[in-house]
Amino acid sequence: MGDAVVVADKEENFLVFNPAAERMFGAGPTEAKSREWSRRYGLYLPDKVTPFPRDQLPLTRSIRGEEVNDIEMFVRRESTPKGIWTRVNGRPLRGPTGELLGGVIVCRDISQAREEEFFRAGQSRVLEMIAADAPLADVLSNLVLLMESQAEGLRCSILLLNRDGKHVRHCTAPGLPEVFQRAMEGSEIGPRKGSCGTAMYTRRPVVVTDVMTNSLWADYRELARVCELSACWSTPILSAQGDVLGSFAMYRQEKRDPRPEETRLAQIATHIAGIAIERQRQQEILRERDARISLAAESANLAFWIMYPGQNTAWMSEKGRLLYSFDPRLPLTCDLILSRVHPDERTAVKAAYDRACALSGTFESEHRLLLPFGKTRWVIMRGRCLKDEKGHLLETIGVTLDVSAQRQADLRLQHQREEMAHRNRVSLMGEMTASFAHELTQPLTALANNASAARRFFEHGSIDVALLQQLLEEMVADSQRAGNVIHGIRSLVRKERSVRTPLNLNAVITDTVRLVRPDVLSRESVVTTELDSQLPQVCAALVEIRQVLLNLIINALDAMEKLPPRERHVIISTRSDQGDVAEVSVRDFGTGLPNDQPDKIFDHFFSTKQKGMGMGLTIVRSIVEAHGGTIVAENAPERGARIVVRLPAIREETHATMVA
Amino acid sequence: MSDPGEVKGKEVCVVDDDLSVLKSMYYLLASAGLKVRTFNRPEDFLAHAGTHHVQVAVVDIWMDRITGLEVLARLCAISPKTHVIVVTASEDLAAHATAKAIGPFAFFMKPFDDEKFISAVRVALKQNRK
Repeated sequence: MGDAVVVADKEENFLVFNPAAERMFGAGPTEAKSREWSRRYGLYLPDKVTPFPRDQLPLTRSIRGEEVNDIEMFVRRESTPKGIWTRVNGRPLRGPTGELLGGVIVCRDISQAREEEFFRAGQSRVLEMIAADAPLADVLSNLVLLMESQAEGLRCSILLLNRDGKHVRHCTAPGLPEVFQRAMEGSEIGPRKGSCGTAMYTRRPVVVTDVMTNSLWADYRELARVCELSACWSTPILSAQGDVLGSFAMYRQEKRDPRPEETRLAQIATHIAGIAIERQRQQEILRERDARISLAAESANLAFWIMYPGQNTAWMSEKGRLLYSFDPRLPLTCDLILSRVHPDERTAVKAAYDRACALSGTFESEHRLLLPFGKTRWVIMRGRCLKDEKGHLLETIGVTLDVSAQRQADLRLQHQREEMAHRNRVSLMGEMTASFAHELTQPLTALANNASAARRFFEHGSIDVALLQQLLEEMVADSQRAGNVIHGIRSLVRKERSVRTPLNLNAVITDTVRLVRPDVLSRESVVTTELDSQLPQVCAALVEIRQVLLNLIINALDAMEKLPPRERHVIISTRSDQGDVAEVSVRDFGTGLPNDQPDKIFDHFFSTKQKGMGMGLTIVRSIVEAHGGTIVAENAPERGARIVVRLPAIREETHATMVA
Repeated sequence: MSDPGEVKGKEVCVVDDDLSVLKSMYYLLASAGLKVRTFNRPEDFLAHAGTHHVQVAVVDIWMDRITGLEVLARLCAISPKTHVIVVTASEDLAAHATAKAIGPFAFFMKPFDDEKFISAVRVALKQNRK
């Protein structure tokens, strides 16, 4: 369409009204003056409803002598119900001397540009809804309405395919009767299921010009009649991977094929709907995964947390807030989470956490939480540090596991073990009466001798102060030694929990062998040692290590009871294994172990001996394992058995464990 | 250890690897006016007995490197005339029987009655072994 040109004189009489103007304004020039122009020619402001005010009309203004540039005007008449957008420029007409004669306006039809602009804005709105995660149903119905606004008499629908790939899950058709939507939802797709069901089934566009005659619509004719539909063109909506997500359909009341602009609309609608549906599916999958993870976490009593040390902020799952006794709405910080750690362990936990942050590594710590009202819980906290691409610490993410119940069971078990170990020590005492008697008799004999000597010297009057002093000092030393023996016996019998200290196993062995010598001799046996002077120290409880050695020595002696006395020999040797491990082996020359299961001797009720302490070796194993060591029993070369205990050596850099 | 006094020129040798017991034996015998020579190591005592006349030896039968019983047996060979007085802190009857089989002059369980012990030593000093 060419530009409309209208010229009027000073008295508002039309001088020129070209054919384009007649088409645009739906009428030719009239006698009407400017006060009637807006009504007569259907002139509106850009809001499309307010009649253009007379004094602002471009022609009126140019007749007044103004230059009018790029005024937008909406024109709607009965003959152009959709209306026409026009851009108007006006100039005054002047005579040779510059006197005002009238005005001229040129109007350009910009409807198509405006419509495209509106359409693009409409698409943007729908895309924004998608980005803002608006509900999918809202997004799709906005999309359908946008498409319907693009052509007179056009009706559209979007069907969503269920994830089973067979049934329609949802139908968006705001311009069609509700009965249509109800009929579609839940229906099955297939090779002859209307335009949409067939399009989804065949993954290809389906064009039906007349639903009343097309065989694809055999099942839906009544519905089409009720909804006054004649033509239906459907396009499948595919995901980026090519999966069928749904279909977009256009309906018309007249029987015809789609026009090119309608095909283009369908392409755009299918594309946008695809984006919306796929995004929603992904979020559904994410939500389901989240739900699965939290379900797994909750059933495993796991609490999730994320800490942002840089900002000192943190997030914690619902379960986590429950475990840590945090109010669900309380804003969390790293410090707040740390403040729940029991004060006795807080420094160590913080140090482990900081070290992991500094190295961007992982950390694990078992510690107690001290909660409000003095409640405590045992937890294991595991975390990992995440860095950004520049290597800066972003966050630490991890879980906390409530192990209180397990811990209590462990404590009960430990208590039982301690009880058993104690009974074993008491029974060891019975095995070693000769040794203890001897140990105690020696200082008592010395004490008695020294006292008798002092008395005699006095009786003879032959004592000087220096001699008396010496005798008294000897007696003090003797009684101290007797006291130490009793102290040693008591430490074996006492139920007190033992303290671990760095120990030189060679010294403990020498000491123990000396102690048991009387019993060894009374059994007409010999215990010798072969000690590695390079043996590293271990961290262990003296009483328990002594208990291990005594059990192993007595076990070895018991194993050789039936041998002739000169063959009853126990060899205790030590060996360092690359400095990491201190190894102690106790070897006898008895009958050895059953070949099939040598380690069975560590089991509770297994004993090859008639007499014997039953539990002894079981307790030995539990002590060794509690010290992080291992114990094996094997047959020695030639004959006899060898029990090898390996304990971890103290390292230079001791690993900080937070197990109390 | 020096000799605090002389009784008829004859000395008592005491052998015990427990130093505090050894010292107390020395004081006890010295307080009775006896001449005492002490040995902490049985080897030293056996060497001494090989080169000197030993009238009386007080021997603890529980010792570390050489057992007291072995000391007794070797002493019998080296110095058959020595009177041996056995002391022991052990209650092991089998060992007692072995020790007694060697034929000691006297046998004492630690701790012992000082009067009986000293008088046994005195008698042994006076008697010559056949």
